[in-house]
Amino acid sequence: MKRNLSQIICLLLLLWGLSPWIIQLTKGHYYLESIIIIIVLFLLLIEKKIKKFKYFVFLFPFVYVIFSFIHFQSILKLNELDIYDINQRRQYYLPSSARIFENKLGRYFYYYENNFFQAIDFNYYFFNNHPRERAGIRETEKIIFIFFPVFIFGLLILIINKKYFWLLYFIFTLSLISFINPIDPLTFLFLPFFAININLGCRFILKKLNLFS
Amino acid sequence: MLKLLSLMTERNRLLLFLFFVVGVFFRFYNLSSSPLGLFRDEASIGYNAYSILETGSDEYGKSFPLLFRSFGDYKIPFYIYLTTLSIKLFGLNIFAVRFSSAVLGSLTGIIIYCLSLEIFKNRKFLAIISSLIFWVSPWSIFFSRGAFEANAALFFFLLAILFQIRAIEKREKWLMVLSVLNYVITTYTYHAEKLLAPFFLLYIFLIYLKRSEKAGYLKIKTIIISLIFFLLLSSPQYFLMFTSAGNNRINNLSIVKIEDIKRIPVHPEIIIQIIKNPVSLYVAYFSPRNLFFYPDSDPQHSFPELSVFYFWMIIPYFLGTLFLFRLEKTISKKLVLGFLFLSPIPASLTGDPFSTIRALPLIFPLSIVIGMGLEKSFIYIKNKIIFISLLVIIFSLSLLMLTRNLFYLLPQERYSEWNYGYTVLPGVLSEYKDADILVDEPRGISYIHWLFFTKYPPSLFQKQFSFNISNYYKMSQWEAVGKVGRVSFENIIWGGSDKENDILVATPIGISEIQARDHLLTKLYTINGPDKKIILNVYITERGLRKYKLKITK
Repeated sequence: MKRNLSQIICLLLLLWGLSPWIIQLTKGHYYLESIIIIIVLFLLLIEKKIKKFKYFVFLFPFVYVIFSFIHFQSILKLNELDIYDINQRRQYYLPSSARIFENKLGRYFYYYENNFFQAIDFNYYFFNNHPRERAGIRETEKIIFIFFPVFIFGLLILIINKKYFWLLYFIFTLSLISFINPIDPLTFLFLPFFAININLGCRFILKKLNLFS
Repeated sequence: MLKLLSLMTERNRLLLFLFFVVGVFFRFYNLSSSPLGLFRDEASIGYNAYSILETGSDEYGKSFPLLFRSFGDYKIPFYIYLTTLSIKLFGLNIFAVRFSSAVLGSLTGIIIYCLSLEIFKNRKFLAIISSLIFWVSPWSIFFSRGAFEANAALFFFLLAILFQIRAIEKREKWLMVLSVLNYVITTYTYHAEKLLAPFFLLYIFLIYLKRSEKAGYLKIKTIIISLIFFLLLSSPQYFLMFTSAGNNRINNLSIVKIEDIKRIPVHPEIIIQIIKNPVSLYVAYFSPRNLFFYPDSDPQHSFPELSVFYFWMIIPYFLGTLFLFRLEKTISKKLVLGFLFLSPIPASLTGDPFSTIRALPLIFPLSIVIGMGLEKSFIYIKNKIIFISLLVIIFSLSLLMLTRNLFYLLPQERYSEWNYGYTVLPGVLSEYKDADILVDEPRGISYIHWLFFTKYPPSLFQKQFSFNISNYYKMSQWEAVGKVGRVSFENIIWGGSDKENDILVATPIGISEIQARDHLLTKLYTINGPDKKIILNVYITERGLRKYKLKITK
């Protein structure tokens, strides 16, 4: 798929300039906004320019996750409440089967699942910060919701054209950051994935409308 | 349906039977005790069915109503009439109330098998795996284990679609009659299907009409007659939507309020919310988080820590979606896509973020999509034995997870949502039949548990309360039933209630230890949950002590 770099940059700046996600992330730390935009653009650039080394992109979330353990907690560290909960629930079962149903491994898995599914929810990015809140509650979405159909178009284009690089990046990053609690601050690592898809979707729609070729 | 089943090979029949047995086991085993307790709506369904059976009228004295009044709300009638059969068979008890739902939930799996086979000709693996997914899905099992009208409606809805497709393809008129009849039944069974039934009836006709223009076997006359037949028979339900009984619920649940629309000229930004909210809710029905991880936000509509499908199904869900979109433009694709995109519409027009009960019809297309993902994996993976062994292990682990949630966590952690305390109370106080009892319950809803578990004669209750039934379908306000026999359901007024009653029942917050001591109350019983937490305390007053000459050491 041929890409005009200036067009991509224009669209991206428009998208991220308007994105509440960036505003939320960078509140009080304006230098971060520029860093994020630079990272996104850099990732886009290296995808095109240095194709051979593009898999180095995967190092970025990997390194970031390792460093994030300084500030955030791993899901493998259970607190006292978790231990109490496990012991409490063990009383529901016969002593012989209690450990099969209630154990630390199950709790780790539960937290991993929780993070994984929170970060894979499109509602979480396009509609609400907390998609299970009742509708009508004022919340700020991460990406403006009108981009949702555009994003879907972009995603379909990637899949139809069998370009799985960014999809792999998404899955890889997702499976890594799900080990960390809370996951919310780390979801910004998906910015390039969303940027690429929305960009592709935008280009597709504009092309169909003959406004932008 | 029998013809479709007869097409199966011996091995497939055995497999289907095995999966059916698994489905039946998880729907019927410990049906009365998991969920623990009887929810007030179930009690209402059971008692009204009992009342119909005994007197031909509901608890309010209305003869064979088309909507059953229940705590200021109205219930759609079919499930209540269906429950009369099980109550006749098993008596008025928890099992009888949940029986019809469990039976229909089990049979829906067979309908899903037949419907999948009808839609995707000769794809038996897909049909079997889709029905298995349905039979073991927590979504279906949960709603089959309670008296949920939505679960019964799903059975008739899918049956209607199966008959309609078969009628069109085989040109059998009597099947079309059966189809329309089933569509009509769904409109009398659950609110969501009232919206979906006419859309689906028309949608299926339209997609077949396009093909039959060449074949010429689906006539416009058939469509018109079917629609007229449907509208004629279901019109009472649609007309009732314009009464207080019908529109009360719509007004309460609808996401788009008339007041909001009126405010648009002053606050044009409301338009964005009016568009955004239903879209957001609609998208939530396809969110992997809601489908594979997070339970329904209403604890009375979900298992603890278990979503509507198992977490691992996310992989075949994505694969299946991919394969579904890649299918050629056939009737099969149009049917499944139509089902997938139309089913959550009624649910996404209501304010709840992910209402599993209103979106229950979505379980069919999702079972197909997940089944498709598994089917394609089965085709692509060369070593079939390893694949099948892996599937067996995954399904077994899923069932182990279900066992944990269904038979241990649900009764232990959700009993209060299922009104366990009020379920036990009539039994606890059975030896105090002539006592004046006051249950501290300001809304007065738990009277229905008392009626249910004491098998209070409906004719006596109807006489005791001469409700104004001339405006039966126009009452939208909840009138608290203050008293059933000698049992009152209202707030405790100190200095009055404790002097005029023999027994007082309240939660530990309703009557504190200090209040009990100050008003000379003696604890008679404590109703505990299975986790030993106190749900209700039963106190005997001084008057009660004198009446029963009890000497209880304080």
